Amino acid sequence: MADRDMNRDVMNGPGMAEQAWVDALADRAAAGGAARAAALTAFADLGLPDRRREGWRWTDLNPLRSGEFTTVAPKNTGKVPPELLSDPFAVARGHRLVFVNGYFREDLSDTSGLPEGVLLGSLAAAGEQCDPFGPDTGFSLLNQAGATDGALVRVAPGVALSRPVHLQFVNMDGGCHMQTQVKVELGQGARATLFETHDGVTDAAYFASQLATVSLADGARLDHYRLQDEAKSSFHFRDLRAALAAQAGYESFTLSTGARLSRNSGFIRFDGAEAECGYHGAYLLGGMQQADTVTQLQHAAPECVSAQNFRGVLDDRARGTFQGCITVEKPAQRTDAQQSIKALLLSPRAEQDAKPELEIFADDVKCAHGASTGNLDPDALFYLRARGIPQAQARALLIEAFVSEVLDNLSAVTLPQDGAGQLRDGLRARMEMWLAENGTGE
Amino acid sequence: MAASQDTIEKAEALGESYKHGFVTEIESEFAPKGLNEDIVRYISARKNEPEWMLDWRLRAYRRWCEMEEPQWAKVDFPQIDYQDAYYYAAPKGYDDRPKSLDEVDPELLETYEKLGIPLAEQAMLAGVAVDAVFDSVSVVTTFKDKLEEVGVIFCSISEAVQEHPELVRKYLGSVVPYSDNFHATLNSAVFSDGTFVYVPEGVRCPMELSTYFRINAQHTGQFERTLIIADKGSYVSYLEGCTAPMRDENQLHAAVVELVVLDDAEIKYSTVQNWYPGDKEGRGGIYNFVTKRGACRGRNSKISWTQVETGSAVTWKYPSCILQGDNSVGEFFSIAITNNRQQADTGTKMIHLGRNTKSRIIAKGISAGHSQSTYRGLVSVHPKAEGARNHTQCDSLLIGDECGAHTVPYIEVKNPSAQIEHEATTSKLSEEQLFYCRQRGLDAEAAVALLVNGFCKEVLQKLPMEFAVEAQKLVGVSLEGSVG
Repeated sequence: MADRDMNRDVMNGPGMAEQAWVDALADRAAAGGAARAAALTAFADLGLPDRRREGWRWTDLNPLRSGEFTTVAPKNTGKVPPELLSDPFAVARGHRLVFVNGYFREDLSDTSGLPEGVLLGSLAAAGEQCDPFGPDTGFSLLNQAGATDGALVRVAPGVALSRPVHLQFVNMDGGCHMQTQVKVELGQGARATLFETHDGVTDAAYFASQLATVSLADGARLDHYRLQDEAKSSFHFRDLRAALAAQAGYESFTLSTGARLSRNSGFIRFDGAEAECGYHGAYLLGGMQQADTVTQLQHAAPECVSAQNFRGVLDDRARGTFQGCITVEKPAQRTDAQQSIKALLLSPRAEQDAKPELEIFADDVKCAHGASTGNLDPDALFYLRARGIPQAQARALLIEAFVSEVLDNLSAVTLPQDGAGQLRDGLRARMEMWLAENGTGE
Repeated sequence: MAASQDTIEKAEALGESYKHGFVTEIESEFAPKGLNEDIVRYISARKNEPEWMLDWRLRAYRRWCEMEEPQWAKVDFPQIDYQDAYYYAAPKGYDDRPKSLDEVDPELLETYEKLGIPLAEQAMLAGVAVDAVFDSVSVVTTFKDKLEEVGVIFCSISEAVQEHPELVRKYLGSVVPYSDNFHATLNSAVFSDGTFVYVPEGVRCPMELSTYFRINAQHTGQFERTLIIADKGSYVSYLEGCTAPMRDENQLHAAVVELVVLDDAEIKYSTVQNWYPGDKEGRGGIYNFVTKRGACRGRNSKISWTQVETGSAVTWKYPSCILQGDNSVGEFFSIAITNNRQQADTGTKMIHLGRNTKSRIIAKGISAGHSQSTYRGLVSVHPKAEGARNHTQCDSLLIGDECGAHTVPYIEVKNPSAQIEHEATTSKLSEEQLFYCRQRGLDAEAAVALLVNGFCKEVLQKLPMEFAVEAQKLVGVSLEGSVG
């Protein structure tokens, strides 16, 4: 239990780095009501995590302690590159919320034609905030104290959003932090699809943090696809807390290619029986990039099914870290939980660390996890080359096949018509872009 | 099958009581209670140790004073008061130690007999050299002559300090440094006795070496230190088996085992651990905090750990392999059975440093009653470990709905040519298989013993013959009362 352990040995009070954050956020927290002020106080007590905490042993947070990012990002009304505003997955035209530097940009957003019973808009405008369950971390508290805005998606019982919702976060300035939130609530039997994109339009370093809460009532279904392509020098921290009621369904896939250091942390709790969750991801990294994935699936109700599939492709000196924990509590009989993490190391200096963890307190369960790490199969490469395919192309083919194992299994049931196929094509196109830039050379 | 049936009968005959629970009334000589520098000096002086040994102990003690007890393991037990224990106990009359088996205190021999290890008999019949540790001092060493013939040194570590100081000085603490961890450091400061084995170049040890450890005197933590060195091209198989008498108070056991393997040599280290696990409510039982580590220093060297952990109230044990030499191999085969209120946090570390190093891990955990069993392991491939290969398989079996089974593997890969695979499954005893067995006239317990033996078969097969039968029986006895 990464986060539980994290709280076990709390740092001895706030240090310099923490104080800088507290000072920077004091005004915003004071103006934002009791909840924000309480979060900042709690942050001051808990402090930023460090490597001595179990859940952070593979992640060096010193750059975030430097005080470089404590400034709140300025509002930026500048022009967003038009290619970013096109539909990232070429699926049916969707509703759109755009946030630049953490502030809602109504001029770029489109919420027309929403069916009745759907609330889609800015969290700040609605006067709401995420109220996350689960263990606090320094970063979740920091976000609660200082988030500028975020997306609110609330769907009434029985309503199905036929068009996907595109949540777009664009960061355009360096030397500052952008903190946003995503709050999703689906009523009984409601359905929705979310596309979330995170892009950076600057070469300067920034720190983007996002806290997301997903609450699915009985029989609700959410498909949630994310593309993280932050600026290569930036830091991207995401903390998801999802709660699934009976027979709810949640599918999530994150493709990470950006950020110098990204942390994608997901805490998913099964509160009702027969809920299903597919929580997947892939990261394609080069240079000195690091992607840190943390998953915590807490099965608290019987007969739930969870599957996690993650793929990492690591070139140059990139590093992938994965900490995945499946907890099966005593009432969660007949749980079926599966987890797989596979990584490809393309370069001698790339590194993959994994900690797939099982915590099981119920006896009638099926739980399995698998982890493997290796490089491209030389026999397969030889086979392709023997058939006249150039080295670079052969490598790209094999890498694509490796990641496609996850992509091909995305069900995307909430998308209309051939939505799933288009989604896969869209994601694959992103992957090919990455392969064209990296990973094909020797 | 026959063995399992036998187990059930025995278990039934014994009822609730622990098979090996009795106290031998032999007067012990105690050091005063508590731990301080004087105690460390006392232990060292009692053992007539040279100055360097005392210095080493004192360095460890001072380091220990600055250390904090580790809290990360998934085990839960009351805080141990390290000042409320005796750190040295020797059976009286140590100074005029017996020259042969006949001179051994008959009561002592009877103890072994009750344990089902008639020392003399077993030594002769089975061809096993037994260096029996009773409490802290080696009382009897047999088959020494035969081993001496081929040049194998097999003696207590206190003896080795006196007679082979150059070897002890060179290797002691070279695998597990005195500052390694809380329990190992405590052991380094106060270790009472243990086994020393040196197998010279090119020698294949002619017999299985074995030590039976037993905790006897009340309130005495036992701190063995084992050091085994396999020189170039040699081979040795070492067996360690443990039982302890019934006791109400928790007893501390913090042992350290160090293995050093040079070029082309191999050590096979097998353990059956069956210390008193406490009663049904979790009262009493041994705290077993062990540091076991082997270094494959040479090319083509190999270490194989096999363990059957059925006893102790709390187990904290991670036999590890440091694969330094090119082409070296590390293996870890483990069965951990917990019942009633037992807690086990055990696993292994495989550190791949050399090229083409291979490691294999098979861990089977069986939890029953209210017990908690955790596999915790690390597979680490360093940047220069070209062509490293690891396969890990962890399977957990749950019997009853009050127990827990956990898996916490760490995988760190810094070389792309490494092939690392980890698989883990958790399941419960199949109702169908149980039904099938019962339908054929096996009672519930016999059926469980049979199925569990089948579940652990892969590991049981790795045990030396002498242990395999005993271990198979233990599997059944340990799970007694888990179904019904």
